[in-house]
Amino acid sequence: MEQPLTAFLIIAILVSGGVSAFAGYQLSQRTVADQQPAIPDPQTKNPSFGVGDNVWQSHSIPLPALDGEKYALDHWKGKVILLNFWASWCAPCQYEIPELIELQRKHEAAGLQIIGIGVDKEIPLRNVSRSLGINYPVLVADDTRGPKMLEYWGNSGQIVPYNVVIGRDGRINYTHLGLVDQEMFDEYVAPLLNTP
Amino acid sequence: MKPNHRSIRALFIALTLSWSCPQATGSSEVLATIGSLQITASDLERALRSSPFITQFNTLEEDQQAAVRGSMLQRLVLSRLLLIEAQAQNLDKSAQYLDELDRFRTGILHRRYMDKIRDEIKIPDETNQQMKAQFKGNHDAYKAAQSAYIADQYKRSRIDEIRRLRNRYHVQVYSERALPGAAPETVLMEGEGIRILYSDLPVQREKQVTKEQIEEQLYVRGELLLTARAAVDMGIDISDALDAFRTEHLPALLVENLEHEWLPDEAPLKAYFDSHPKLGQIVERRHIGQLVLATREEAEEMRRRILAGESLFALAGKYSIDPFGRKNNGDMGWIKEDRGSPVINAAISELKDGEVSEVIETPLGFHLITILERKPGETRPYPLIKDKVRQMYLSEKLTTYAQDLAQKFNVVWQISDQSQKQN
Repeated sequence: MEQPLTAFLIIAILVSGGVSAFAGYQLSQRTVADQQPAIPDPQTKNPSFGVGDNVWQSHSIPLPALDGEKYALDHWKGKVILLNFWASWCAPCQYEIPELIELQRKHEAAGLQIIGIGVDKEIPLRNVSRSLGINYPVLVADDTRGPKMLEYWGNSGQIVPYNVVIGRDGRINYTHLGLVDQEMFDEYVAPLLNTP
Repeated sequence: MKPNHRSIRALFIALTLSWSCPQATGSSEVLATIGSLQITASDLERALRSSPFITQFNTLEEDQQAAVRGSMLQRLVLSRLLLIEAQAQNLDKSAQYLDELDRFRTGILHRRYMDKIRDEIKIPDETNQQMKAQFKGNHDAYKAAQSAYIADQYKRSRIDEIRRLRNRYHVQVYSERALPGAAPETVLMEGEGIRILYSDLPVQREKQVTKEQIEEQLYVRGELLLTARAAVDMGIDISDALDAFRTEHLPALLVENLEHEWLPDEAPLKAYFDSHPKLGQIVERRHIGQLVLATREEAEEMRRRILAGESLFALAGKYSIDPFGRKNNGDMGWIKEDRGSPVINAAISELKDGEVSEVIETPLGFHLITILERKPGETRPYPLIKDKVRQMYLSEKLTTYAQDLAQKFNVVWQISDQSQKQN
């Protein structure tokens, strides 16, 4: 059977396993005026957010989203936020996205806001979002500052997927390297949804 | 199917298979029929989702995904055609297939039975609460502790279960007979519906073997058969796995047989190589620099500046109307001599390395070309490209074979009609 040439080439490229470079940039950056003792400074030796820090005490820089708008994190102030750092080439990241879609659908009314942070290029992120039917906002980090951004959010190994749970008050309740599972959600996210 | 129809069909497939919503995965829309067998959109989506390149597939544009879907559908139809033909040839009743099926069946029954044993292990509430408290704030450590507890319990449950099954099926083990060089028909283990001969163990094929190695394999084989037997008695359903095995292995077995038939020795390959001399040819590759301008006057002016000493690459970075060339300062990379525009290829056929071409007009603009360096072409002899020849030869044979099968079993592409309606 004759194969359409384009499809054949695409399959060949896919099977050869093209790998994109890991890239992204800092989502939230502190200014000198914003410095608070509880907030880590990117310029110090330990420049990362950690559990217990309050993200609303830090200046929030807008990032472009796949819907064409720009959003800073405080756009969702008052919600329980699950920041999901991911990349289009990361198979485990794609694996957990349908679960996140379901969690967002189920708990949206209770105030859950999942936010995808794509540490990657916009086009593949957009295509994955369309292919998987992502129902929450995806912000796009570009190639230059992504690793720093991940470090800033407490992920010094710059590994994706990476998840950060933020309470309605802005306090980081939990950070997690790897996939979100139901038990983790029940333990660290669900209780926050039940508090005003 | 005539060749011109095939290319039209491929286009229709690519045009039609462009759904992108995940909801489409459950679609029962029929895409092709082979006799009375239907291939639906959900069959295609399932094949796609279980493919090794699904992660990269999701990153593609819609038109690229449609092209991949079209190609996948063709492969799916081919696979079903081979399955039907394999059954028509009674390959599913052949000794080779039945032997492979039996080994697979035993393995999968064992696995499902042991999975069941593992799934039945529950962590007591009190222990679980202790773990949770101990590893609060570290979900990974908590999950690791859970896994370690279950692994430990499973190790004990497994030993207990095998002991229980040995009693249940009245198994006798004859360790004293498990000796190197034993006769193939020596019975090493037997019980209700279970019997292991020395010839059943892989180790019997090896020249040097110890009694310990034989006993170890006997134990492994014994565990496999006992749990498989218990799984059957328990009514564990493995029909889905057997169905998948049949669907995957019968086409593979048919292709294996065809390969033996088409290539009884190397003679057909050598003949194919002799009749396709281009197979061994590797064409010259050239590292090309290019500047493209909108008008002949501009191009002539740029040529004068380059001949006067300016860099074609610097000018391309500033003025080229070709977006790729402009972005890459005119560096077009390595290009095979038989690729690219025939007009340009003809115009630079005599160009020496480092020279700038005359202005070349194409529908894309007015080009100035330079060749930085070359990797010369060569002709490789048969022994060096035997694998490539084999691949090409079998692919050609299989294509013709598949076309014959498509006619024999009446393949009808449903999607071309829908595509025509859409357009």
